[in-house]
Amino acid sequence: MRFNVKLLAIILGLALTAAACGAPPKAELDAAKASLDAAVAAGAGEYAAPALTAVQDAQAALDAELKAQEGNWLKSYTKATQLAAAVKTAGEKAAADAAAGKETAKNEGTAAIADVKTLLTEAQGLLAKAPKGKGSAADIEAMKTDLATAATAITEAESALSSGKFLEAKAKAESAKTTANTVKTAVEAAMAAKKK
Amino acid sequence: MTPDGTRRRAWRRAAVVAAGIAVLAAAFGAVHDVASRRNSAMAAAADAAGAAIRQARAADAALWAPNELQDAQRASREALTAQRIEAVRIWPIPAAGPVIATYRAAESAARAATGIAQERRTRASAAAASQIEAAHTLVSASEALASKLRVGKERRGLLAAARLAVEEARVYQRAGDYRNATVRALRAKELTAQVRDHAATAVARYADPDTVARWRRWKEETIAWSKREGRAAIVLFKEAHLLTLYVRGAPAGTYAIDLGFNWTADKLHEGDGATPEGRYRVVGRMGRTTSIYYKALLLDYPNADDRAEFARARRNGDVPAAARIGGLIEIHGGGGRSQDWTTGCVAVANGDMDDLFDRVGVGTPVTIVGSDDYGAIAEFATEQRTAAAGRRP
Repeated sequence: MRFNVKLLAIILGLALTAAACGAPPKAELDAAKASLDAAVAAGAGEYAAPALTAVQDAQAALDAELKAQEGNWLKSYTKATQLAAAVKTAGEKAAADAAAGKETAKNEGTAAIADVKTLLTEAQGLLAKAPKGKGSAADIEAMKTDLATAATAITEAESALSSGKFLEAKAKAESAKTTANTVKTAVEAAMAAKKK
Repeated sequence: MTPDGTRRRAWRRAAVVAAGIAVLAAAFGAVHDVASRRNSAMAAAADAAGAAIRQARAADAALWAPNELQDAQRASREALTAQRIEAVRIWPIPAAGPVIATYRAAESAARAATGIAQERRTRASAAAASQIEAAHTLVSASEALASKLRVGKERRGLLAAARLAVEEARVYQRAGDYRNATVRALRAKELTAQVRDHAATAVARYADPDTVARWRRWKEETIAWSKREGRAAIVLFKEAHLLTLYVRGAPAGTYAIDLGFNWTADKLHEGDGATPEGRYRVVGRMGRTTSIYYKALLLDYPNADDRAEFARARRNGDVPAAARIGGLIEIHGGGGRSQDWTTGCVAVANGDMDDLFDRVGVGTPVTIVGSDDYGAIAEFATEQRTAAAGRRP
């Protein structure tokens, strides 16, 4: 009888242990998935592509481990739990990198727009004082049109910036800067030539 | 059993147990050795596949060869799963063959993705660079054309937008976004084409055989009159911006002229900025005390042809209802500015005006033509007509 009770206790203990190790770690898996989804939602695909790839690779390793344990008679999810934690950590890093990348891109776009606005004001001021002489009136009109178009591009850049299209904002701002710079250089050259 | 027999049996038993242990140890060692070699082989295959996939990613295969990269990643995941299944099996010797084969397939697919990505990226980069260069050249040529033809504020705005589009394309190009770079370059070309098409339509007359033939005839008849009458006559060539004075049919002086701001057109109404084309005569002379432009020779614009054309245009609604035909077209001083600034008159430098004033009297024929040959404007108009036809679906 005592032998049977002891044997029963051992068998029950083994069964309980097997049962404890045999269930997928749902909480950790849910946390890992949430972390990956959060990284994607944070724009990691655009602003932190390498970090997002690292999350996806970690998820692939976790999926492989879960699949392997499915077919295992004596299941153990210890490694899966570790892998799930790794996915969560990588996802959090990817989301943080995405936020930082987005902020950097936004700051670059903002700086480019501020830069070109200053340059445009400068160019407009210079053009108003441009020397008017032989053959200049039509050129001045053309430059006024160019600066007006640059001003439109700046407005479009601001719109792109507020829509989160940071590369587009930067492209429009930098193109407007080139135009404003061209006008400024031309007027400065005309002014210098007149002084001679 | 004797004590010796018992001892011998004990030794035999011990020897059997020892032999059994040795065999088990050897078997275990052999199994461990095989398993270890197979696990190492699988790990090496995994590393090679991983390195190839990383290389493909570094080559931007996600953008340039997405399907090929996904195939490689899918094969790698399958291999990883199979490897883990082998690792957790109770049987210690893994079936490494299929796992290694799948990893090698992943490695091969990743290398293919790298090659395809590099080739496509190089092609896209070259295509974008070519489009940007072509757009830049076209915009630059069109800016020069716009200066010459005075295309007007609206078209000038389109050209400015085209120039901005070229610069935007360069920004995308530097960022490696060749698709957007190409899109912006094509937009620049499209805007420029609008300007060139409009300009070509405005100057189509310069390439029209009937119009050029008429201009030639006017010029020749004017020169013939000068020769026959032994008197001065003027022929103005708008495209060349030159005024030629003929005396007794021979050229007696050539002068640079400034024209109306819309000089390529034939004058239709007051305020259109066009210098008229036709056969006129000097009907008045204003000296320095009476002309605000130094000195002036007044022409008899509008003539009968001009009135008929104005009436036709008004009937067809081609001129504003309140428009007047205008007048007071002169050859006057204050010119020599190398730009077309008048509202339709012909301006010459004051020194040239002195010369003309001395040699030209009332009644002198003044013939104004676009050109007496197919010049650069005609060439542009013809080319642009061909290009526009090529763009039509």
